[in-house]
Amino acid sequence: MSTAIIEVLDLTFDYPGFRALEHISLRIAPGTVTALVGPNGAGKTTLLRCIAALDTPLSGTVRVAGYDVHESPREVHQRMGYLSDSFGLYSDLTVAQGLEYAARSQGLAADEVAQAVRLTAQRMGLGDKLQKLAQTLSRGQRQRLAIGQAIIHSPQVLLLDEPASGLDPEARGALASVFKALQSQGMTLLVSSHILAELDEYSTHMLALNHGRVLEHRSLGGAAAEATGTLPERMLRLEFTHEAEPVAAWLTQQSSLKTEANEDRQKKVRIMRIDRHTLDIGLQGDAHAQAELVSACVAAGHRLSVIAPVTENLQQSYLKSLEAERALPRSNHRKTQQ
Amino acid sequence: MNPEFRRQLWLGFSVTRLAVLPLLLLACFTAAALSVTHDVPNIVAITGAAMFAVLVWGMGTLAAGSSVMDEITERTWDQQRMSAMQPWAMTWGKLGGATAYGWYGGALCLLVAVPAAMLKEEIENVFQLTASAILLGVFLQSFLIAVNLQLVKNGGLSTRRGGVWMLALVVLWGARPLFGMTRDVNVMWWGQPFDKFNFCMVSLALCAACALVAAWRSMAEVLAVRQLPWGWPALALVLTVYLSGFAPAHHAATLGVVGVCVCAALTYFALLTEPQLRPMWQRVASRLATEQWRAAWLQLPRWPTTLLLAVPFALAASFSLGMADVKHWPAIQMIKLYPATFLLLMVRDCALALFFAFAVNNQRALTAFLLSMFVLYAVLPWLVDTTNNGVLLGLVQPLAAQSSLSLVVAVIHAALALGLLGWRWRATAPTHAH
Repeated sequence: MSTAIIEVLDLTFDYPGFRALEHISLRIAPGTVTALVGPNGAGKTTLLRCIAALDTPLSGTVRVAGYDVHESPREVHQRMGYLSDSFGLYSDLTVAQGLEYAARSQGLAADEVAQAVRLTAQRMGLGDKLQKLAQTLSRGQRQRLAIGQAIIHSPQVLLLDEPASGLDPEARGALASVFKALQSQGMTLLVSSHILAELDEYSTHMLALNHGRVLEHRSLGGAAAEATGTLPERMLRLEFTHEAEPVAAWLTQQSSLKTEANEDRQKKVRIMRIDRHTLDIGLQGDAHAQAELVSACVAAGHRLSVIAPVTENLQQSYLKSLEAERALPRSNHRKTQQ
Repeated sequence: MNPEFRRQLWLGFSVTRLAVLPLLLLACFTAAALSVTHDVPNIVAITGAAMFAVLVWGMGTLAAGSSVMDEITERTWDQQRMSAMQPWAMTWGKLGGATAYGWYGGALCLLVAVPAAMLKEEIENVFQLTASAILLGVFLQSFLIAVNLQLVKNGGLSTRRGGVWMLALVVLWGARPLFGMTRDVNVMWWGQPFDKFNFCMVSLALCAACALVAAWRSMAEVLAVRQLPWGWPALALVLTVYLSGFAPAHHAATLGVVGVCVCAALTYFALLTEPQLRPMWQRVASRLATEQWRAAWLQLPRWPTTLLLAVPFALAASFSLGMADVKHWPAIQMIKLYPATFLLLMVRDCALALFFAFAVNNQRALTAFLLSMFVLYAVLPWLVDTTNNGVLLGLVQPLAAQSSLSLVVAVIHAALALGLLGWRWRATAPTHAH
């Protein structure tokens, strides 16, 4: 990732008596949708609030669109939208007034406000509710109004904390469409949610947190490739008639499988899991690359019996990360430092 | 137009409300005029003044306070904090917008009351009184916004509105002698006579300006726009200079003693109204450890600034009290106010406040602190006093000891409290959120 719209460096945040985030560092590329996942108390909301400059960390820096959020919060807020998990609305204002207030308070020029209100209301499916009081809207409509207020100034970054909580399946589906549309317009989304199935539809990356640390931060194959313009990563399961361990070692040494297209990863094959005769890998490339891999394997004398695509959803990825972390010996967990 | 001002107007004004208020006021004025047979202009002026007080000082002030607290209850505070509005724009948007309806009514009252008053009073007096009434309204409204913002920082609840009102009343009651002065009595300030009306107006303008600055700076803090902490000590300096002007004798000791007292009042006020959580001090310590001096200042709460400012005042007072003629100020002799001792006791009290605030279960930190103060300043000295043992009393209450002993005992008190605080700091190091 060469450019990042959100850069978090060595972020540590303490609440009285416990450390919520510990030495978090991450970079989020523009135009991506990152699913922020983790169990309750993992630090998801705290991370979002630190990025939004709503909470001040103990140490570390957060930069959004090149601005240090704690040095220049107002400048960052002009480029950012945020929907908290316990958002409120001005219930005595109409939909149009609520949107207009959001637009003006985010610094939109006066002659752009009316159009922004109209377009945002349409985008959120509230075009026919402009004169309705916010207090008369349904839960889903209120949620959409709140999101509309957060995006009316066309921010570069949108932070959403549990945006779908309390919504019915139909409203959730509509929300997913909205997020896809926002991403297609180049907006960067960081979405925290417990409902992973819903995030699966539009997320390009997964950022898993646990105990205030980054468990895993990676792209989610096809969606990420589509968003970043790189070749998609295929998840493949290779089965051998012998132990898979030596194959994994062999694969990591194959210079012919290195790619120039993605220097971050260095290789187009990523070993994901080894289980006796089975090897799960991520292969960056098309069908030709897959054929090339099979040929190389057979030529090297490995007895490949099965090659099949592995489909893994966000939930499985997250649970696997969690499982892997729990399997680590306790000594590997970093001790809390004051 | 300021977006916050516009939003408040949307909420506060409607055609019905615009029409009802003049009708209501008209009814009041008519009733007042018909209730007397003579001196009608006087009763109309008095009614107008009373209605102005209700609408501007009462309703307007409450609305100003609510403009902050309602954001908390409606959970819209994060949206406001996420806006791109600068703190001053947000401050005057709330101040002007939330109180606009009250000012609308107040203006209607003045339209009737001022001409009525001018039939009997000198025009200059009427205008001065009107200006004073308006300035008092601005002061009260700004003051309540500032205090409510301070409470918001501390997780303040709307239920504390009553408490804030009490505070506003206490401030007004304190200023009562100033505003209750009769005609033809000049005010002596820094040895110079000043016309009472003019002095009152300038004082009110100063109060209003201070309250506006306080509201703006508090707004900046809650909007996460950090600023160097000059506001609080600047307020202490302004108050010191202002209050010292009323002292019968003017020398370094006067300034020193008044300065220490003002700093003490502001230190305790900030200490009790600001959040004193451990992470806040961790942030300061973390920045000091990495030599980010400016960042450390930006994270600093308010009260240490006035505690630090009290040091030069205490030193000035201590060195000059013995030499100065304090016969005009018997209170100093009576309570044996030793500024350095007093300063050390402030350090002790601040350390104790943090000791309670840093507890893992700190929900009753404020109560525990106030209780400890009650014990240290009232119960223990009272108990020991019954033994008629002066030395023991001096050990319990350093201000009651002889000059040199008081300082030593105060050092011991402060050291013990700081020791307790150090222990609490180590004992409450954060652990992981498992």
